[in-house]
Amino acid sequence: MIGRLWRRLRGRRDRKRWKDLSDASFSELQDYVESEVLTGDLKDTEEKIRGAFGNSSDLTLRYVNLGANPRVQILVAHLDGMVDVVSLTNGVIRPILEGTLYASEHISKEPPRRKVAYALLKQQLIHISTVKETDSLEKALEYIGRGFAVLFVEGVSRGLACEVKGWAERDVAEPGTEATVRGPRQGFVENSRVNTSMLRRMIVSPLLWVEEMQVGAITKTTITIAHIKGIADDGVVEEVRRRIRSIEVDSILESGYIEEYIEDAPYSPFPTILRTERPDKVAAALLEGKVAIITDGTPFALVVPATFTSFFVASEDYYERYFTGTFMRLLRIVAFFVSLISPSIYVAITTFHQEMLPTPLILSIAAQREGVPFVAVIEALFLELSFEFLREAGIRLPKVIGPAISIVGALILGEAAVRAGLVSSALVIVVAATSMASFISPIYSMAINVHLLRFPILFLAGSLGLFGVIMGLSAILIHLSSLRSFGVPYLEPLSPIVFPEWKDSLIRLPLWMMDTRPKLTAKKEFIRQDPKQKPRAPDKGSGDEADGQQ
Amino acid sequence: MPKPSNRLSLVILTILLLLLGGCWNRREVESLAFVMAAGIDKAAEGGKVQVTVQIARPAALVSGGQGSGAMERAFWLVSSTGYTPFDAVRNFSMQSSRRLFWAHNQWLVLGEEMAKEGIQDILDFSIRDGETRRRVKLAVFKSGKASDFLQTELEMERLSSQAYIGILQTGSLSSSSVVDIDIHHFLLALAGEGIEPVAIRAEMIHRPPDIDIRGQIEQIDISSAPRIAGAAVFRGPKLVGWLDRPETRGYNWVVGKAKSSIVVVERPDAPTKYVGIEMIRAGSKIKSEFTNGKPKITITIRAEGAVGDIQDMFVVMDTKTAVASMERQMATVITNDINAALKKARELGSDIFGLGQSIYQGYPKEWKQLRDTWNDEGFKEVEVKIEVKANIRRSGLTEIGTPVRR
Repeated sequence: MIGRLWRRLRGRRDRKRWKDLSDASFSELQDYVESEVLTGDLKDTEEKIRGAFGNSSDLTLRYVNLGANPRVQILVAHLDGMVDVVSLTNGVIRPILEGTLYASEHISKEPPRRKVAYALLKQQLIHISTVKETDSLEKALEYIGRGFAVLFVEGVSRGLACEVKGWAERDVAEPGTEATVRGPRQGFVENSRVNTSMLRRMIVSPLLWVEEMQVGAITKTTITIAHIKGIADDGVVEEVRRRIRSIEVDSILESGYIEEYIEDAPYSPFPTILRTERPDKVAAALLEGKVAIITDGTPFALVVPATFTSFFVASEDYYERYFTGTFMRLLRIVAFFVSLISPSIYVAITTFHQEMLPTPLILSIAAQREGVPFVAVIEALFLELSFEFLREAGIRLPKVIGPAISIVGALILGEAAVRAGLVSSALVIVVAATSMASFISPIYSMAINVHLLRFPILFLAGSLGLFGVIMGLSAILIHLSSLRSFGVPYLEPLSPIVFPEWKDSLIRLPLWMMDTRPKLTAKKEFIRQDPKQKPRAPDKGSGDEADGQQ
Repeated sequence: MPKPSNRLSLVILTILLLLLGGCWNRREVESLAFVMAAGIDKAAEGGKVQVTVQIARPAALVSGGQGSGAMERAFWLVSSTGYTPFDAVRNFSMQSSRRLFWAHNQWLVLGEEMAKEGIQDILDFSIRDGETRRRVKLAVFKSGKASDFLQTELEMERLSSQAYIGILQTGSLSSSSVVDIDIHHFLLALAGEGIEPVAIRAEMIHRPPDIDIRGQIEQIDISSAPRIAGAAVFRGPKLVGWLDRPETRGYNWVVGKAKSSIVVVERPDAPTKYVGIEMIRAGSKIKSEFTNGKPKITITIRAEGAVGDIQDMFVVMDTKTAVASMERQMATVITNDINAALKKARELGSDIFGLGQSIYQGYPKEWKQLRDTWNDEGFKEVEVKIEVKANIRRSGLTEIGTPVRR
């Protein structure tokens, strides 16, 4: 109390006006706001709020009176556009105005009248279910900024924040980046509360624990950590909490920011954190003992720990039957290699190892390359770069001209370049196949990173042939083996070998075969289902009575 | 673990190393001359060899197909001389704008003259260099210099080397009157105990123009055409003679390579009509034994055939005895072929079948005494017993002897 008194006195003493701070830096202003204190003086509070928000036209302040005689004045502050006007009116304003008579009685009966008025407001009048209190200006400003309506009662140096949030948001729609043929078509949205509700719908247990924290000094983004208590490793959960808590930045705009601040291998081209837009994927991961991180403001949730094989898994693998699922997985692995090394293999073989191709093929390639002025490496580099231009441009083209230009671009580029003798047609096909293959991985972050690794391998192929390619692949393999994601080795279950988990990595065995959860993420709750789940014919003697057992 | 700053410099150093080293051994595809077939002859100048190579022209192969007027030749023939084949190959650089690339070479053709003098001086190039391969077919050209053979062109393939490979494959499959020998097997026989090498026999034969209508290729002399048939018999590194088609068949029977060949027998009930029987299985075993200090060889042939063709099916053949009779005839035909081959080989003084090898494998001590004079004496005198177990298993879609109503 002494401290509070002292702060008030000091605040009064060397109090600067907002206009004195007109060319102060952000942190100076921030410090000033932190040092300010709520007084019971409404005019003073109004001045402070207006000073902080400046000339912002969405700031709305309104005075209402509670009680008739004696009357207590209340200041209502909110941001237009951030509140749901109906709730504000019906839940806050109307009860105050209609409860005036009732309030009058109570206020006159028991002094001090302002404190009584405040208590009345808080406990009986406001028709909003979530109501928070604060006695710091900074927190009150934050509540205003978050779409709360903050009420200040004259003479009471506290603010009462009522949750009347309501703003324009995107509807739940099919995830843009991970569409499936079969499976739920819901994707996360930008509101983290809605996202957690989607998870709750899938996992009905109360043991799905959802914790919030705020990261980002200016954006104060809500980060939600979800895990299933009892399946997830508490050590991993604590580590996630610790890492997020230690992020000190001014803004978190997307989960990618979080990803970069907490990942295990910041320099590696390979992502160690999975990101996804699909709630069913997150739910499946949670059930395996992984931890999900949901960031407000982006539909992309993060899942840790993530291993290499998890980037080649699409939720569709599980919704189709095992045969399709396995084939799709193997296709993705093949596509991974194709997108990584095809142009390099072509360059290496035609430049260093011509004896490896069958004679008709090498003669055909030699014929195509007559007249091409460039060395094979340069040709490959040139074509790969052009395709990168095309791809990147294609992302930003408006939807109306996009398809036309991309078709024209690809066809003309390829065809004309061959005609002009700049490139050989075999290489055009190789590069096109590479680009196609790079989009097969369902997780874009992995696909694009791997796709870019092909450039160093191309250089190696051009200088050292297949030996160089193998060197590059070995370097990548060594690097992958050394990666860990929140304690789990990246190449698990391939190295270290964990045979039971092979059922769900490169292939997908039928669901009734997968009795166990992955060992490293779900040690505690290992068994997932009864081992005898395979559908089979009913035992003899359990037929209907109507089958005629006389 | 080096400090992070040291780690980074390590990475940069590695990258610089790569750039510094450059890319040695880099050969751009368009700077290579793909050798499709090679021939070695005695050069006009004494003591030298002449190497002729057939180089593919990729541009002609891909585009000039539906030619306007004369088709472009798919290959380029060029010769060079030198003291050894290696020297001659190096001398090609004076005539060829591209470096010769031997990895796709499929043929090594030798002139008859050169082969007669002995090929021990020219084989080393094919073995020692890393780019030449041992799977290259080895042939001897009977009618002149190897370079003449390399000039020939055949229908159906733009490159004659490919065409001849095809002939070998279909030839050994369907008639087994050719031998399919590459340098590797030649060397095995050359170095092996008690066996002499054979090579592919290539020659030009005369063919009346109206039987073989050629395409648009301009040819000066249409009356002769190249052919691969038979075998060239070597004794050590020297050519000593030739096997013709029936003898080659016999040879193939003995070495167990007669699969898919045809044996023609007479119809048991009508000796002027023939039955063609296709071999579906043909195996041989050579066993040697010593009786009274004298070697004796038993060649066991197991032949299974399927009836391919019967002339004039009017007369019904009784099945059981007909089949038995045909089998007996099969055995006779095979035995005759083998005997012919044996006779020729004995004449030429070269044990190409590996009978000596069989003795060496079974009785090495006795072989030591025989080996020096084997080809001239032992081989000619050794008792060879031929046992043929012939069997007709199938007869196609109809039973033997479907009547035709007259």
